[in-house]
Amino acid sequence: MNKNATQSSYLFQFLSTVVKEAVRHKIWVVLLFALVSLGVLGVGMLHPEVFRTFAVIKVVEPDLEQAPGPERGQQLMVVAENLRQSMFAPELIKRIADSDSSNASLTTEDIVLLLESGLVLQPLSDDLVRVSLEGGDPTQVHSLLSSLSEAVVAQNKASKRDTKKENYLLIDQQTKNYKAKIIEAENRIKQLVASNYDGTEQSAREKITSVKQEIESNQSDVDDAETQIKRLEVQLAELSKSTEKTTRADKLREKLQTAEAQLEEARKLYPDADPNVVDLSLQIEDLKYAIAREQAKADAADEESAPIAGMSALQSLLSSEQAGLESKKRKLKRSTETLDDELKRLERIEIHQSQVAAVTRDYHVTKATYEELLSRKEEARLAMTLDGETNSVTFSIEQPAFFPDNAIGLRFEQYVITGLIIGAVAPFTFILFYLIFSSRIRFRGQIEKFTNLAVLGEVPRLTSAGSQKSYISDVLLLAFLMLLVVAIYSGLAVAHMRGAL
Amino acid sequence: MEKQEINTESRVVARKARITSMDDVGQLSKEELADRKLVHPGMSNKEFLNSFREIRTKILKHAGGSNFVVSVAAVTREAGCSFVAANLAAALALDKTKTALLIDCNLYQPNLHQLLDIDVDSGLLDYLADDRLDINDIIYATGIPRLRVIPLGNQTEVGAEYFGSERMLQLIDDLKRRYGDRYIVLDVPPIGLWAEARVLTELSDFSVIVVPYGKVNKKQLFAAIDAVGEEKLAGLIFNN
Repeated sequence: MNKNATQSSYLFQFLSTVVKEAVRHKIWVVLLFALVSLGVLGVGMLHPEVFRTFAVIKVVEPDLEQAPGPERGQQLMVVAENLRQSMFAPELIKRIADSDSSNASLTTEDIVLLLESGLVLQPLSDDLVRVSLEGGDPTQVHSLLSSLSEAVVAQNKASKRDTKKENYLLIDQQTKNYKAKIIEAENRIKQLVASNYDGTEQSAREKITSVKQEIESNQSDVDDAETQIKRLEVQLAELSKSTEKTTRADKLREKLQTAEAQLEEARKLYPDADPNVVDLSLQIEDLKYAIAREQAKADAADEESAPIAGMSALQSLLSSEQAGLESKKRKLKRSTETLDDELKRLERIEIHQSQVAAVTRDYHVTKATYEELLSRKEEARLAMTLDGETNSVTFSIEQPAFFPDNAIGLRFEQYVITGLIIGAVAPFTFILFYLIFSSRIRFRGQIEKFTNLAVLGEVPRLTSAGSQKSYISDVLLLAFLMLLVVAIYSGLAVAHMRGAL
Repeated sequence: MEKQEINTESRVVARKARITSMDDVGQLSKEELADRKLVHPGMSNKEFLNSFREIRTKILKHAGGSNFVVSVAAVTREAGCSFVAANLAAALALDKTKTALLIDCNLYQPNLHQLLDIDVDSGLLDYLADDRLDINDIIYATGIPRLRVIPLGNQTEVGAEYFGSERMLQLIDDLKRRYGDRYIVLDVPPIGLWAEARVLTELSDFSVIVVPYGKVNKKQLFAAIDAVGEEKLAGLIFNN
């Protein structure tokens, strides 16, 4: 409570000081009042009246309708920006300026300046854009915005027709291009088919199979011939072995004779019991046994085998077989060479077929595209003819521009009143802030706040009778000056309102 | 030299005669007091009168009932210190059982004699410089009942050194002891500007500081309070 009372007292003293300072600097207060109030009045006199009108344009766009809420707002902002840019299109502005029905007094430059300074586009809802225009002349503002909004909508329609026509022509041109490509692909396929001299892949493969079978048959014949030759050679070898056994018995006899001669010589030199003699005697016995055995074998062979005269017949047959073998080998070689030729032919046929397949695939793709283009061309033709809805943005006027009867912002009368109020408040506000930021002590509360020391008293300002008279005369003079300022102020305001200034 | 002695003697005789007949000196009228902006009974500006009565009451309370020597010092020049000192002395003299003596110690702006419209022959500095002068030679009537004044005098060029002298101490002591019902008010130079102010506050029992409207800031105020010392400071007077 005490603290609140102290604060209230401090505030009261502060406000009293403001008044005191205003009284002390009364001349400056009057001057500041005159300066500020007349300044505000001057601003009001110089400030041009601004008239504003607006039109609402509806935006129809399939993407916009399908978009979720937040994105829709952003897309509408983009549409509004595009709409703004289209309103600044030079040909559009020129068309409006050249129009005889309205805006005759506006040149192209005037329109551009007016649009740059006062055109504002603002999305209102999901599909509405408010187009507002400000300017000093209500007729010009209204007329220009009306013409502009109508021109933009008309241009939008015209632009859509042009777009559709361009679209049809573009598709038509593409269709022609693809038709030429199809013809080219067909010719290429024909050329490739005509250039095939190796027959079909099937015939080549059949030929290869046939040659392989022939090779196998020839190989078998060669193998049989070689087997027959080997068998004949074995028979001939066996006949040769029997003649070779007879010869061996003869060789053993020669050794027997040699051993008997050595035994004779040994007996001459040594007794019969001598080991050399005994040894030679035993060798002779062995040789005799061997000769008898070989002879027995030879005799037995002679009884079982064909006569030696058959050897010549075998040799003749062998020669014949060997000649046949050579013939079969040559035949096998020819078959192998034929197989190689057929494999190469097959390779050529495959390469050719792959080329044909590639060209054929291109042909089919081109043909599918061509058919799709034909369908699109028909759609474009219909859209161009029937003027149906498309995916592009469509503008329409939801609310036309109205004629602005009243200016926006502060009116001159409001400036007049505001000037007086601000002029009266300004000096006190100035003093208030001056005291807030001044460090000098101007009332008792400040001392008590700063020092916490006892303030014995506050000596009031004492004026003498003479100074009091002077003060009163000053106040009267200033009151007169104040009235003079107010009179000038009122005179200027009335003169301006009557159009004299 | 002889002529000077004759003049001095004649002045002394004249002053004695004046002091003797002090009671007969004519009092100032209410209009004259109002013109000089001095408090007086029946003053039309009650706010002004009551403000000094409030200050007087608080100082008397601070003094505890005995007579005292109070120095009135300003924070800065042109703070109305002499004006406050004169009115404080006048307010003290309003009590018919008491008297007040106002001593002008402001070397740099001695204007009490102008405020009280006194023709000064000798003042405080003359007394301090001349041993032959008596206290009564420098005390002047003011036209206000029970209020006397000692003007600064004429020896201002050498005055500063005398404030700390034994004779000054003796003077203050004599003035205080001679009349038990006398209050002595010293009008001293601005405390923040001149060293003499500190010497004079030392001579007094306590001091008050005059804070002028819009002329000093907080820093200057604290410097003045520090110069006097809070133990000797009876309080502050805010002068509009």
